[in-house]
Amino acid sequence: MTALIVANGLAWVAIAILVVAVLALARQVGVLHERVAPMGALTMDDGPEVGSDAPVFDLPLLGGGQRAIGRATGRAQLLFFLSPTCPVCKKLVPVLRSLPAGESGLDVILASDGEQAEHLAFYRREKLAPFPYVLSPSLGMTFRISKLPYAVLIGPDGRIAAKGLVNTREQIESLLVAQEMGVASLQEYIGRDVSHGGERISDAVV
Amino acid sequence: MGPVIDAVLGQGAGMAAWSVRLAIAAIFLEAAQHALQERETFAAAIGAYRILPGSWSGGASFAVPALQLGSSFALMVPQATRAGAGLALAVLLLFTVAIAINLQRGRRDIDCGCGGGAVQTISPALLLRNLVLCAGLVMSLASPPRIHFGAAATVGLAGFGVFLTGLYFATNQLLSNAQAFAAANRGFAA
Repeated sequence: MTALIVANGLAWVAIAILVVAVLALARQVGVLHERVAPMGALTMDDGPEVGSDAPVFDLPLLGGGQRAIGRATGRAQLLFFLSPTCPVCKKLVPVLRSLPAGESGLDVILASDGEQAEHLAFYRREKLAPFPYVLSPSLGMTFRISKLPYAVLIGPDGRIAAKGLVNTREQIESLLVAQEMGVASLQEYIGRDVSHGGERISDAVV
Repeated sequence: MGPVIDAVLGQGAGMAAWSVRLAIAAIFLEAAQHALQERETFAAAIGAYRILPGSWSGGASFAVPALQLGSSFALMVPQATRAGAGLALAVLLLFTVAIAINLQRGRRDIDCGCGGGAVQTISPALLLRNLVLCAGLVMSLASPPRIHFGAAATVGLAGFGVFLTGLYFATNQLLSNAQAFAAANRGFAA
């Protein structure tokens, strides 16, 4: 009887260790998914093409005032499409804050659509006052935004410099790098002939 | 022989129900802790379900963890275990119905707000997971609230409870991983 009790106790200890091990493994796979997520922002073959003139909008701001989007103003514009119900969007707000905006000639503009009251609450809660925030269904439709968070970089010349679905800091930064290097997206440049400065490119992305 | 087997099976089911109660109490405790710790995110998740009027999300983000805490503690008190199981079942069914309605609406990209150690959006798998938890609670309601077993059995049953809890969290993590995996594959295919 004692042996049975001891054996049973040991079996439970073993099962407890195993279940913790399974949990830890599953968690590690989850973390790897986050880390190994495609480094470059993914573009969807939809909406206005990179290199073409950005559609021009003149939209009211959530905090009051108007904002011109897509004009050649000599400053780059990063349109960041988000929604109050998207956890990844919220996670990226600090990344947007840390971008070298202002003096480097980059304006970060938040864009969304939906009920104004809901967005105002979100705007206050997340302290988004430093960013221009526009609500416009037609803006999202013109750029054919189907997944969030999505970013579109419009160059100082009013042309679309890069765009894509962004889930991480690296992906947002890859848009800026893509603009500097003159490539539209990660896919475009994986597809390029390696002899066209492949080394430099891979250095920049990894 | 028949009555003996019946008695053993009956007592066995009662003992297993105790382990299930322990596991569900731990699961609800974690869910409440998670919701209170990130209350604003939880309120946003409740709002995203678009079941309650938008202005209720804030209140619900207090009420739900409070009910979860209450049912979690009641589950482990023999005098209150039935009430705890009933309350837990009510909360769980509310969320399950909310998930089913949103799946029906075709909104699969909303955060479930359900804690469990990993972020995941609502899915049919989540419905199934909740129904399994509901089945555990129904079993708990159907079994005697107070049963007596010795120290050795307690160790084994507590072990089983811890195992079920671990299994629940591992399942959540794997569901979340599966969603990340599917999203990554979609991304590359696009």
